[in-house]
Amino acid sequence: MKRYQRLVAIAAAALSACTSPELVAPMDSTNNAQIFDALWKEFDVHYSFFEAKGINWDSVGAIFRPQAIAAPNDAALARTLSHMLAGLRDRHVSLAPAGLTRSIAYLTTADSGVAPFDPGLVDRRYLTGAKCSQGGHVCYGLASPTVGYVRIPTFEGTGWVGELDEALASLRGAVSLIVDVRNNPGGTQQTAIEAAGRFATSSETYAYAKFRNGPKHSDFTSLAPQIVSPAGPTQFRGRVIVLTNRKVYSSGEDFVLATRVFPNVTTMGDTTAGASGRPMTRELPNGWTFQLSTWVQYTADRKFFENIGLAPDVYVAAERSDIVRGADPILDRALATLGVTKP
Amino acid sequence: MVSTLFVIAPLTAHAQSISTSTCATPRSSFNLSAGIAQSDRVDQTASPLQFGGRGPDVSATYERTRGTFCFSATGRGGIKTLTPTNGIPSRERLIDAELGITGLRTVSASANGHRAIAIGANLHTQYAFTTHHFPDVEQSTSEFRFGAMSLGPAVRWRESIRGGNAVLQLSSPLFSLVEHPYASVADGRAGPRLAFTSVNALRGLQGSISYEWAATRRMSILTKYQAGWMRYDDIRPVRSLTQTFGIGITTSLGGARR
Repeated sequence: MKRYQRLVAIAAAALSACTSPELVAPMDSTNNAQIFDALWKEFDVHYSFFEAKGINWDSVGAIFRPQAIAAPNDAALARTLSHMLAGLRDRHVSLAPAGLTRSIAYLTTADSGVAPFDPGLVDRRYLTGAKCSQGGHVCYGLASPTVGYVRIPTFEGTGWVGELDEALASLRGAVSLIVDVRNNPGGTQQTAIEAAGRFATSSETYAYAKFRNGPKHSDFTSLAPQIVSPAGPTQFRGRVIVLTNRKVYSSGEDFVLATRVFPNVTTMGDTTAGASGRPMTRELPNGWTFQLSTWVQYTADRKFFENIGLAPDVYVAAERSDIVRGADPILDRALATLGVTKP
Repeated sequence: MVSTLFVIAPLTAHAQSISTSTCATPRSSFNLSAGIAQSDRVDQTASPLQFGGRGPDVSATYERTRGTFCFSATGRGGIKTLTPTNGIPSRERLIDAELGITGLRTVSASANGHRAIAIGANLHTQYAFTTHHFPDVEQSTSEFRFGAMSLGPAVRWRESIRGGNAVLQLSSPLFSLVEHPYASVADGRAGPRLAFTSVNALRGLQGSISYEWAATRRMSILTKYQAGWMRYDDIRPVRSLTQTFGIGITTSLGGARR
């Protein structure tokens, strides 16, 4: 029995002695220099658009590091870091200081303004039987007995694309479809491509992308094709018009890329935002988190569109004043193209 | 006389195996142990911070002795929840596993068989899969992995103490094949990234100290402290230290323990 008692004593001593040794120099959560260096370094080794945007990150760091070190408090430090990151002009770059419920992000002029788009106006004035799916991810109705309308406000989340099938089943009599992704801020790429698969007639390359994979700003994986394939119980094979505007971002643009490769699809409205990014979340020694873009995406014909956007097949000018007076010029043009007179 | 010879001969053979073998005295044995592991690590692919934590650990070892040669295969694995040592509210879930295959040859043994030293080589494979939970409002998670297969020298010392056997084994990698993706591995962001390295880039030390004593003719009880330290100098460096304390049962296979 004594041996077992010794064993228990040894075990207890061993467990209590297993403390955490310092494997690296500890990082001080209140040291502005360490916080700045950690942020700058993560961008240096992971951010994907330095070369494409012509940014000298070493120079940017040299300018902002003294300001960050001199920041007297967290608010001032957050301001300095945000100003540095704003120079990247990237909608997928953001900083979330601890304690804030919203992150600090770069905003374009289009982000700040109100888009000439009102979903309520569409439902009231243009549709009959307007309703939304049970999960609320898809809203739909008939613009005419043969023209259906489907609106997808966001591609956030997964597992709900079946609601699009529900909408398409309800619009069974429609021979043409308007798919409205205006003001869609994006979300999950997988969801956007699953949704686009409901309009795919074959497997097609809709874009190309390369990921940053090394310490040099030119280190990328090889350009890999991104494929959209038919998905869901049925695919809509009639004529489709996809409506876009300046507030279509990220996975919203993936949806546009993935649908416009098909000959039965026309994009109409305004150019999208040009915000492809594929952000990755990282953390700083003080508990703040940030996101940065990690890939460069190209269209199916290998054109770079970050900060440029995807131009529609048919451009339609629209102003906020049109919405105020009860008209949606982009939707009007889509309906006219499909042979539907204005309501 | 003949019967006496028969009795003496096996005893002599057994005495020979005690005096030369640095593995357990049966020709082959199997051990199963469970315990607690403490893991401390920094993988800058996931975070610049050091994380540490504890969790359950299991290991199994097969050993076989043939003359002065000894072969052992040891597997270990566990799950741990790690938190940053500087207190920020992120955390990691670490699933790690190791497999070590060691071949040794006894080079020195005392006449009474109470002490033996063997040297040889160790093939060591380790794998760590980390789910990192960021402290942001969305509670984002990312997944990272690190794997290495290393070959290097090993040395084992065994000594009989108070009716049991104490064993100390050390090994260190000389050459390694490392798989360390550049970024998180979810959604195809980072594919496999293999690198062949030497001690210039990957240094480590695996050590264990155990004490085993017979409980029955065929079974013994083993207590073991195991530690593994690794330093990998990559563009995204990795440092790790895993300490395990376990208790287990060893069963002799194909021969009773004396």
